Amino acid sequence: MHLFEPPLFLGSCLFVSAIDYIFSKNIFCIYFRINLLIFIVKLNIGDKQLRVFKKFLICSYATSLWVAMSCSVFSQEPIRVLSWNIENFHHVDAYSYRGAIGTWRSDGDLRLVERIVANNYDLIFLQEASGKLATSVLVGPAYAVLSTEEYEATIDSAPTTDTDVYPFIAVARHHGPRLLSSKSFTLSAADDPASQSRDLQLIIVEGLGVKTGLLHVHLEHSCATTLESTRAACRRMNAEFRLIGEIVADRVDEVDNFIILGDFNRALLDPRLAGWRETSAPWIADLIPVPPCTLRPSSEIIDFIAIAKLSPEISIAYIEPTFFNLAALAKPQRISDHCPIAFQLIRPPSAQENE
Amino acid sequence: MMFRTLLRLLLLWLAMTSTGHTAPAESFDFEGNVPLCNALATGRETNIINASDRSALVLTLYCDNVDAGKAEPTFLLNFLKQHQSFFDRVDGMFFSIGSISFTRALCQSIRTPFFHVRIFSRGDGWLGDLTSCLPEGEYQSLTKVVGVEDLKSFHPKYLALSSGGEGWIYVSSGNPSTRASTVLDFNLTIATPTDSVLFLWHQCVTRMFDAYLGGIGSATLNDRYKLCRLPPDPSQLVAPMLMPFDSDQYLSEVAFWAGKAKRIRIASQAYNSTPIMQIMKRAVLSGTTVQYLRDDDILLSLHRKELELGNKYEEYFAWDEQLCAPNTEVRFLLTKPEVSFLHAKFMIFEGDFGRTVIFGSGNATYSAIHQNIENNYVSTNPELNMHFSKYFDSLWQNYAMNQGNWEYFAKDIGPYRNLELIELDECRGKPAK
Repeated sequence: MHLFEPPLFLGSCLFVSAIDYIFSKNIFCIYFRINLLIFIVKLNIGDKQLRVFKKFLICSYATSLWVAMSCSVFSQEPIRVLSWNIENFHHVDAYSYRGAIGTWRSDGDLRLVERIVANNYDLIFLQEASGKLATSVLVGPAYAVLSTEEYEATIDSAPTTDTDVYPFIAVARHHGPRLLSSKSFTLSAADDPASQSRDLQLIIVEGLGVKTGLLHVHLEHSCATTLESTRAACRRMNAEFRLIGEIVADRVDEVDNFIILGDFNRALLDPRLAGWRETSAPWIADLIPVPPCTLRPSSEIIDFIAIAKLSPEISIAYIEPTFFNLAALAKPQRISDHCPIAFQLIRPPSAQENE
Repeated sequence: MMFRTLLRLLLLWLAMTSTGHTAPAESFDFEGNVPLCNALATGRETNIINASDRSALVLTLYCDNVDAGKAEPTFLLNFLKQHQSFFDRVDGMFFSIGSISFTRALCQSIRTPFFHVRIFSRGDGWLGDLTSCLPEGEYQSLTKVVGVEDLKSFHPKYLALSSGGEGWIYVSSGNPSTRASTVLDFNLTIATPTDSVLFLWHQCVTRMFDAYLGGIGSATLNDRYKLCRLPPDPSQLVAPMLMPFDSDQYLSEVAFWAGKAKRIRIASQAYNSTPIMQIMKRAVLSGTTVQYLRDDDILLSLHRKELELGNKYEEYFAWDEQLCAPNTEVRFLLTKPEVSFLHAKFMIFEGDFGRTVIFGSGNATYSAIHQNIENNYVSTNPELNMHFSKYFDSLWQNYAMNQGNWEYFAKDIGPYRNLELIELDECRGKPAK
């Protein structure tokens, strides 16, 4: 078969474009490819064989350009993120997943939860869901749902009477940043012999021309303001903060931004904990508290966006909740006992102009 | 110049297609089984069918035990053999498992070490076969189902298999048995991501039964199913339902689509559900055409013998007589009791909305809706629904016959000689159509 016969020609195009795409996944290369494509199109070639080769190059680069453009590496759109502890979330109405400590949500409550989550977010971090099914039902098919190894191990083992909740990350399949990697972390057996703590989830995404690590946490409760304690729960919480520190130290150089978000179950803004923060959470360069809302009457803020590293080209901004008036709910406790936080990573116009 | 124009158009199309926000597409592999037997043509079966009639397609559904002896579940076996040492998680529930070829093929399709294998079914033999051939793995739960609460039958038929993030759902109206290929069943695999609701639902249901059958907890199955139950979601192109817990949803889907349909086509092993009949009757009175396929056994039901299909003469009064109308038509499949029979279960609704199919393990019977564990589905997926439509068309046009034709063939067939032939005309005693 001649090299330029249609089947081989198209196969070669796809092969070259795939190689090109794999080795050049950044904005510079995309600009380079656009210019190269224009250059090739303008080439005035007389030889018939070379003209076919020109078509071959155009086909290859156009394909790879499309692949690159279709992912948001190229995009300057903000990365929209939601983080929320939906207390004991399960997708079935009139059912309490965790018995006495669960919630009995009505169908209307579930619709409101859906409204909060459905705001075209690119990444959704949910701290308490009954399982992957409940999360998938909530976020819908436009999102891929990432679970922890701890959750998967539960699915792959004999059922028990225990009911627990787990953290999940939903990643938009067709918009937003590109998912580069996902990993979950668990405390060592020495720190958590009974495996009572939830896994941490780290994803690294690429968008806005930068790489961002997002560490999803739902830390041990019952020690929100305790300075020193020998209680097992507090020991686990301190071990979790140490683990976060290790993860940050280990992975921070891979990325341009490193953000830790979720339910810390720790009143990190409490002045009494200032010293503790310096020694136990030195990786916190900046801290964004979840804005208070009617869902959480307590003034003690334990949900945060903690920033360990932020590129000077990127800034973080709240997304104002516009879904509905939470204060008007007759039974807000059925929605959750935590407030959601929505924010976006943006590249300010000045940073775009500097490129 | 032309090439540049084409290139521009190509780029425009690619740009348009790259902005969609839909879920990954599911893909399907479908086979509607039409057994090609020749018991009546070869003379293995005593018969006095005219030689000139013996090559008729309608007779090829009439299988004998020779045909049944080589009737492995080939669709499922082929699927499993294409995935050697591949699957890391397997969840499945069947009414029965009767093929050692199936258990061996399943074992060979599972990789070492696997994460989990959960299979539940009635019957005995499969348990030992599967236990002995499974490779090393983290968790396995194989249970023989004896009884499920006060329900009548454990009657589901599915497998959910995965490798990494890739998942497949196998759904059939039949069981993996040694007569699978002589029974008229549909076989279907759906390739879908493991985080799709469709895939997760099957995993959830199987795990729920793992807990129930293992005696974990004391909640009723109805309460347990709240772990897995799905809200009605029109965006879900293939939406699963578990009977009897989703019976309201199931009937409301039947009523909804029947109310919009211009034509309804049904295949079922048996028909005795009053609510479905009433829905169909209302549709018929509104001008909808209803066509349904029957096994021919009901035509011999005056015999006192309890036929293996559970078809009873009473069905005529519960269903056929009620549906008598010019726009209703029934056709029969000529099969041999206990060897070959109509076992597919699906309803096709067609109208201005396109085509919707309700399919699964459940017949159009009271038991299937209210007394059995069944897995049923509502599909608004055009590709999948086209497969069901073609299968029905094939049976209806090539292999099924009306009462008059049936009598022509059946009265001469040896095995039926001792059975009393009845006349089943849904409009018997009423004005002709």
